[in-house]
Amino acid sequence: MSEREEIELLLPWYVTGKLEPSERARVDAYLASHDDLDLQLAAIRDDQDNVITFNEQIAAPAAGGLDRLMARLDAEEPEAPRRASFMEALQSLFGAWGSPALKLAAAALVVLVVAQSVALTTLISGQQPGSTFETASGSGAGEGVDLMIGFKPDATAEQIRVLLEDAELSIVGGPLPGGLFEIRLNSADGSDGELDAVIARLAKRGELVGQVMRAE
Amino acid sequence: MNQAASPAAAQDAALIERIAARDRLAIQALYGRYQVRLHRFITSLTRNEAIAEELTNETFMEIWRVAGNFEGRSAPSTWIFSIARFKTLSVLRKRSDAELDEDYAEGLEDDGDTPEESALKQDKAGLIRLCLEQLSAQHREVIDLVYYHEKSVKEVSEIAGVPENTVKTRMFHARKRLSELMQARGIDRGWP
Repeated sequence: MSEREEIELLLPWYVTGKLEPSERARVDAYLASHDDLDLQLAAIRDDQDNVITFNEQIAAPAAGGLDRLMARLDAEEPEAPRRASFMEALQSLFGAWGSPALKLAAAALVVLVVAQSVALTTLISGQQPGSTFETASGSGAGEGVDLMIGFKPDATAEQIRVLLEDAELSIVGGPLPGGLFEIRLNSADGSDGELDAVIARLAKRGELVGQVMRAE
Repeated sequence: MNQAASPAAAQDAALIERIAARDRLAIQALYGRYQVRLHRFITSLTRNEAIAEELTNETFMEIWRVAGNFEGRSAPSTWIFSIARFKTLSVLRKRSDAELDEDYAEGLEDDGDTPEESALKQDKAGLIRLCLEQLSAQHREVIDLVYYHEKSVKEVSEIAGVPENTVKTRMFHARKRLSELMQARGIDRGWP
């Protein structure tokens, strides 16, 4: 690419004042001896004025947008009732019962029922406890898209492969406009908490991941 | 340009930190600072103000959810615009042509005149607006980010998720195309 072509590429940011000082000095030096670029500069200034005017003609957002946002936050904000643990549920259940002896008997009954359930499940499935459940399709994951990811332009294919493997993710679509990929969590139970955790983990890989968020 | 060092960027970063701590006043303050800008940006991409309003709020909902992930690697405004763009592309990809002009979303051009277009052709400003609207979605986006939102090459690269050299060449081709469209409508600026 010739020096002239390189300078021409920088002209819009020269006009908007968004060049690094060294680039700006370079453009200044070139323009000082090439006034034939004045027409381009004039066209750029003209374009910028028109784009600003065009944007300012866009009607202001309707009133009430903030109210709607806050209403949605109110709807989302209440913490989901914390799911009681198994032991807490037992305590709650037995707390309503009378004597310590009755509580002990009830607890023993629950333990027996749970143990029998495990034994029956193992017997029916022919599997050992701890083996994984697998659907006919070979995967427990849903077919939908969980996340959208944009990778940094300089991320290599190998780096992306390792990242996806580590996070147990699969690319199921893309690239979309802007280089976005549709991602499915292989091991996800689909809960909001798990998605948030994965998003947070990916967001920390800023050297590879440009953007990451839930799919709509 | 170190955008993160500007007072506005520092204020934005502080607001995002407070939002991560579930501070509702902070999300309201950020909303006040960005609502119009995001609305215009999304409108220019979707050409649909109702959808832009909806997506502007979706963007703030996402900011509320993921504010804790902001690490200051990019300027706050760049991060916010990238979320808005992400949301917009996601919707553009899914919505039917009942709500969006798909030809527009795909950057195709239509030579047919609507009544509105006929009215716009009556003056130079109207003609220029028509030319801007005829640009592809990609070209319109980069022109909007550079000329109106005054984003640097690096910031556009981060928002659009493309290398900086791609941003430069995309911008060059966008303004060249714009000049050609103007020339076709009788506005000759001597370039290209």
